[in-house]
Amino acid sequence: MTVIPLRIGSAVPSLVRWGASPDADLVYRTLATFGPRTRRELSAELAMPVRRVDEALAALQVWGAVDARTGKWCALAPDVAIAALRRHRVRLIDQRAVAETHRWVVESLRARLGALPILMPAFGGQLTEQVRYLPTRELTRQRYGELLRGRRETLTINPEQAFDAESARTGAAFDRQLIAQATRMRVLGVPPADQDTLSPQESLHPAYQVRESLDVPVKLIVLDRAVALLPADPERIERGYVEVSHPQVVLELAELFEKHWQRASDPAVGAVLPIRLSTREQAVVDLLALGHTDTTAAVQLRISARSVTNVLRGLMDRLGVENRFQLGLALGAIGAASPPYHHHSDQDQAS
Amino acid sequence: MPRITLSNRERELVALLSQGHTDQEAADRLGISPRTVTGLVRGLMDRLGVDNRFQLGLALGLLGQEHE
Repeated sequence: MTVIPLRIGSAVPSLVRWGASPDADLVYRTLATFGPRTRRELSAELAMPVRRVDEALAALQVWGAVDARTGKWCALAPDVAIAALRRHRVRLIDQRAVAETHRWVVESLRARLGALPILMPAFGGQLTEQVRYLPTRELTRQRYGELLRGRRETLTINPEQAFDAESARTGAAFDRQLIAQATRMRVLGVPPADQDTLSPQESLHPAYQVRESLDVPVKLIVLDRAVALLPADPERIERGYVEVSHPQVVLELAELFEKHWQRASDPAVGAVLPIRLSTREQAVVDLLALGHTDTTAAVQLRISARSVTNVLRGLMDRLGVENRFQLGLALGAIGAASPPYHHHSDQDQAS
Repeated sequence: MPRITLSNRERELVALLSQGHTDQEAADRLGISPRTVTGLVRGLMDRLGVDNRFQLGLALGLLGQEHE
């Protein structure tokens, strides 16, 4: 089979970064670069089975990245397509909510353990015997470098979805040091805003254990359960960090980490994100779990079959999955529903 | 809750399907026919006593949790 060499336009960004499949990306790229095509033409030009072209086009159509009004498929402008894909990725973390839980965590520590100056201190330096304020990112980096030496364990909670180049570079340098000294690292983060599922660099060094959660309370680093680093101001990271060695505070922060770690998911295993189902979602899921089809579930719930499909579509988007099998897998893994053998007659009436 | 032990091939297939691959793609990767894929999925559904892929997913998802 001959493959027509493509001059891929560099102006078309990779849709894979926004959650599209590589097939969908290639199809979109081809349409955007070479103009409208039929599905058969795409199949021939890309040496891709028509079925895969269809799947790619279906996904692109759902996102509103392509249009077939003229009888041929054509691509919408890249900015329009990306904006549509962005809307479909509803995994954004509310940084203000993180700042709020940060304050709450700190205030509750202060209330129980005495007036520790661990929130928004005014001056840099050693504040008490057990609290030190590192007023800039640069000072924090230096101090972090010192603190890392010889550590056996790090616990990190990171609510950021993207990193600037500078933090990524220094982060990588610190990580090399930690790996070299065989430190056990556990990192609890949020799903990245623009995960490139194709990137081989994403696979992490075995020294790391990584879990993901959409519900992370604070930005936090705990070293050997002896020292903890917290941002001085959760909304202004440039104000540096507070270093705490107060044993009870560090212990409680380590426990906070463990509590959230338990609830978080391992992105390498099915990437299940904890979500809460609405009453309607739960009702639909329960009926489907019992073996109902969309249509019979709709009749039971006195809603339209289309509404059932939409509820499921919404859940699939939130869980970042593409088909019903994956949806079942994700819901099963978080225990949101179970197939019939779990249902006893006394539960069947539950709505 | 029924226990189920997956063969290596079933495990590979479930892993591929759970990543969002279609039956065809999974068949290509495993070097088997799409019909065999359907047969394997059918077999799993029978063993777990479920009727569709959503339920199969649920069952495997639950089992996965319990095995951890």
